[in-house]
Amino acid sequence: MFLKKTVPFLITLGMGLFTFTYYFVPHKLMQNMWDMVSDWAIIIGGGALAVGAVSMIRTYYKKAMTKSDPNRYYSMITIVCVFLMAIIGFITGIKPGSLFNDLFIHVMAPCESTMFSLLSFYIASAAFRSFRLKSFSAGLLLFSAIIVMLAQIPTGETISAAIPGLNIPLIKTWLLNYPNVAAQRAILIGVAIGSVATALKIILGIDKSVFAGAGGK
Amino acid sequence: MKNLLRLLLILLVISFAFNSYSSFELSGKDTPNDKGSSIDLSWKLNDKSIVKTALNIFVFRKGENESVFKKVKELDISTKKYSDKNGLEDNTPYLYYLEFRDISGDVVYKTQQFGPFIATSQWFNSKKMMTLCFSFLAIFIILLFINLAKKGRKLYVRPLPGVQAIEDAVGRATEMGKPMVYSPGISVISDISTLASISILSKVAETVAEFGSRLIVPNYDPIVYSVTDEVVRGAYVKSGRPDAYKPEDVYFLTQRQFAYASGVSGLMAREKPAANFFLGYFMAESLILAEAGAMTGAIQIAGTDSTSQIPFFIVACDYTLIGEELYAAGALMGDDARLIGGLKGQDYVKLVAMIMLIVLFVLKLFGVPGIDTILAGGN
Repeated sequence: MFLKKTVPFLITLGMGLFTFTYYFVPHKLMQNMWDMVSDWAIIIGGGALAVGAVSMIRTYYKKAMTKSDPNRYYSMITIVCVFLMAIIGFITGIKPGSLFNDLFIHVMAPCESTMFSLLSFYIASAAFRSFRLKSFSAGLLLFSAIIVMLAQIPTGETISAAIPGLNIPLIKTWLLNYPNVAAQRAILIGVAIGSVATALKIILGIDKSVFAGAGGK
Repeated sequence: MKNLLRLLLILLVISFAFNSYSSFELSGKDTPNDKGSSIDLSWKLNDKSIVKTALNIFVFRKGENESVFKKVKELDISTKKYSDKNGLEDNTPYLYYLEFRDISGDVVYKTQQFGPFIATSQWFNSKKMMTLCFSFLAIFIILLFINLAKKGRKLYVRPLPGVQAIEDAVGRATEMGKPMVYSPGISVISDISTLASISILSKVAETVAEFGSRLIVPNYDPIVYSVTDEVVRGAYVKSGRPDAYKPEDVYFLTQRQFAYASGVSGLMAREKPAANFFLGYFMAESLILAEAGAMTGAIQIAGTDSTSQIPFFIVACDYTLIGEELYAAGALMGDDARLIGGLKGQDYVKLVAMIMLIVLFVLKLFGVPGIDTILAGGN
């Protein structure tokens, strides 16, 4: 229990107090210590990546070996790709012009772009569901959305020119700059204060659930 | 008396003449609130003819142990100040002079030597005094309420529908015999939202372990993976069923944002989970995950402190924990009075912040000076 609870708590307490002090103390001594701690974080991150890779390979290997799983071929492809990229990286290097880099740019990057482009379709389907006029709040959302969308396209200006006194782009700017910013800042202030409280509870060991293996209390 | 007046007049004329002759003034000081090795220089050139002919200013410096002046910077003629951070040593006196040069590089005007100026490292950033004061006030209030809760004082905290929904979703998944997918977001372990998510995960995992249902946790960050793995394993150990824990259900997926979105979307499509939890920090992949999850028909509970992603979760998920509600969820799911006390204290800190904002706003309206400095703080 000492290694599972007390040691993580002491490390968290020490690092929490150090980080708090670092924010207010610009002295070179603190800066040097911070740089050293940052280096430790990079080293730990590198080690953790190896642990992560082992975990991923173990998970997909188990899936690939489960004959009853109809999706096991996807896991096989994943494992083959992981090892193939690692081997190619070791042989050709990862600099621009290497096979590894070419594979990354011509296979990985387009795949990622494809996933990103799915957003536009998902935005349409999400908008279709959320803009249904079910209540007064939903009505306000629908009204604001119509204004903002109209202002984004030339139609907004055309309608504004046709109806005297109506300026859709101006209403859009007001909606985005005032009600929207006010709501966002309210959330941000809450988040900032919540962060202080959460950090305090973790640093002082009041909330031990994040200490690995503590089992919640 | 007349002679005395004449003498004063002559002295005044001489003084004026001397000042107008001194066409250059330079002041230097240690850069305040910094880690040292920096001197702030500022100057005033009274002779307009130099400005007209010169194109550049060359800054020369000589340290205590150096024999000659070295050029440290070349500046535009319109420059009026310069922070010298070019290899300065702390607590060492430095002398400076400036040369004004024309387009062909010829010296138009060379100033006298100024100094010595000394750079030092500060132990406290005075610009952050207000931040420090408010931090201590916030810490005091939160600890006060934690202490009150510890002593047994009943504190009311508004229940959150999203938190109740998390518990219901776990029960629903168990009844349906389907797994649950829990994504702790795509941030690192030092992020408060990730820590809050892990706190919720520990409670969810305890219930899952107790009911014997299945929880799948794909991770974006390897360090976060190491922690979530131990947290879920710990929950199984705590419930007395360590053998029921499957290490392959808590795994590291990838550190590429859209590869992660793709991986989790595929996982949800294949496993058809009864409940999806997206709790932590998310970016553009939030809607991809939420919409892909919605297509599987699972109950979806999301929570993030990323303000730009909250709207996406609200429209695509059944329940959303907005901003700080994510931090509160872990405390509300448990029965630890101290955590509830922390939440109550947090609410009172918010009240103090609101009162301060209103008071400072009113003072600003009445033109009281220095309000901007208090509000803006410093870096």
